[in-house]
Amino acid sequence: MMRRLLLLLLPLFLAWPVLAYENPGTPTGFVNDYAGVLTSEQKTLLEAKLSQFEKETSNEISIVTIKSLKGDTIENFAVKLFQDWKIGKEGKDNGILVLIALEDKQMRIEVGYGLEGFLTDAQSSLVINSELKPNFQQGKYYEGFDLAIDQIIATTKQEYVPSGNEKIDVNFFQYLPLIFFFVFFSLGKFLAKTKSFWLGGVLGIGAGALIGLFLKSLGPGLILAGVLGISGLFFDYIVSKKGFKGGPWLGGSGFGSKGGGFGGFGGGRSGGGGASGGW
Amino acid sequence: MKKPLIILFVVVLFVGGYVWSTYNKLVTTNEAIDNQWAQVESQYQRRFDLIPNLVASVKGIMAQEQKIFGDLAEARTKYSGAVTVDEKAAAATQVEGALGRLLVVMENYPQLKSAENVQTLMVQLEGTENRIAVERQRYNDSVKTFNVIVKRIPAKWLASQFGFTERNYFEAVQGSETAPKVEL
Repeated sequence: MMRRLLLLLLPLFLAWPVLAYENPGTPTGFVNDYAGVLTSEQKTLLEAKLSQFEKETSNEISIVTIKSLKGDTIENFAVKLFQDWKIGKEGKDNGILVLIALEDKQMRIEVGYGLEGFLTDAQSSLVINSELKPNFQQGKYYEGFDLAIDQIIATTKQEYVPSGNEKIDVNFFQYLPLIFFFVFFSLGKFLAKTKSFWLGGVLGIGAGALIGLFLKSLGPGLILAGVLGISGLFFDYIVSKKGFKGGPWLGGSGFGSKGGGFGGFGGGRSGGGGASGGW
Repeated sequence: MKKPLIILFVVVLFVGGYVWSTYNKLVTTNEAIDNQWAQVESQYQRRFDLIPNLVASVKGIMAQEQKIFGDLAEARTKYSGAVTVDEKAAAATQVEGALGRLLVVMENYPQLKSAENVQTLMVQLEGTENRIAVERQRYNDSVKTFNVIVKRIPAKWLASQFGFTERNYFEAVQGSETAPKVEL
């Protein structure tokens, strides 16, 4: 234990070692067995338990096994993988990564920011030493994971209870480009038809003034009116001279829906909390 | 007929847009560094909260190692007196040095390894050191993002006009590159 800690402290004095983290792939579920230590039955059982837990509490626990760290430290690998996969929900950061590296006989429980208070470093270490380590030493990977999950679930259950009226997050800005394109094309058609090349400028100034009024600030409003006026003028000039091809841009984009199965993790973050160990 | 005027408009529009977006990018990335430094500091604080507990639980057994405890206390005092980021970073590195020496010496006291409270503290300290390493690496990443903008042409000229200069990376302070020497 002290040696581990010393190893953690030492790199601060020496130069940072070249770390060989490599993303093992895209997650296909809560359980990602790259090292192949679980049978498909065992995988299904663990998967069912974890997805049930996610439904109840929204906490996301991921089990990942890899063959080798390829010279990296387990701590660095875990934090990078967590960052890449974004385990846990966005804003809640309620993800947990249970990572083992088979050949290195190293393991780590990396806890997301939001769960650090519920699964503390000491508790993570307890899970490693009392559930994972003894079972792994006998080659019983499934049993180790199963017991560890039970214990993690028991300690983190209270954390997030779904509020029932989970609000559907429709972000206006997400659709902004779409709205912009629609307005752009419709306007283009209209302005091309009018043949005057000043109307666009007037419309631009008007739009800028309106936004300024809406923001209740004179300075930015004036600047916006100026900028939009100029760009409107330019835009109208171009379309009036050259004509405008292309119709209003409707439909066809299609929003991808997460149809059935595992839809990826939710956007959580971690900052090095948790504990590591070997077996 | 009004072609030069229109060209001028377009140029003004593009230059204005570029200045606008570059300035905003500089502000955003600069703020991100400060924000990330706050993350590093809060982990330092966590470490400082742990140290007195650790010292209290091992001091009795390690009675003849007063020098290390003294070093640790001195480094802590230095950190609380530090104001700038660079000073704080230097003081924190000194704390690391003292802590590292303490841990090396602790290896010589097998009775500490069996003490449960010491073990728990070790786990907590390990977690804290790892958090510090992670947040510090992210701090350097955000400095890098900012510095790349500040140093590249043509944003470089713009950045100096707005008073943005290159920010420092977190690096181990001079003289601390070598591992702590074990004095027995």
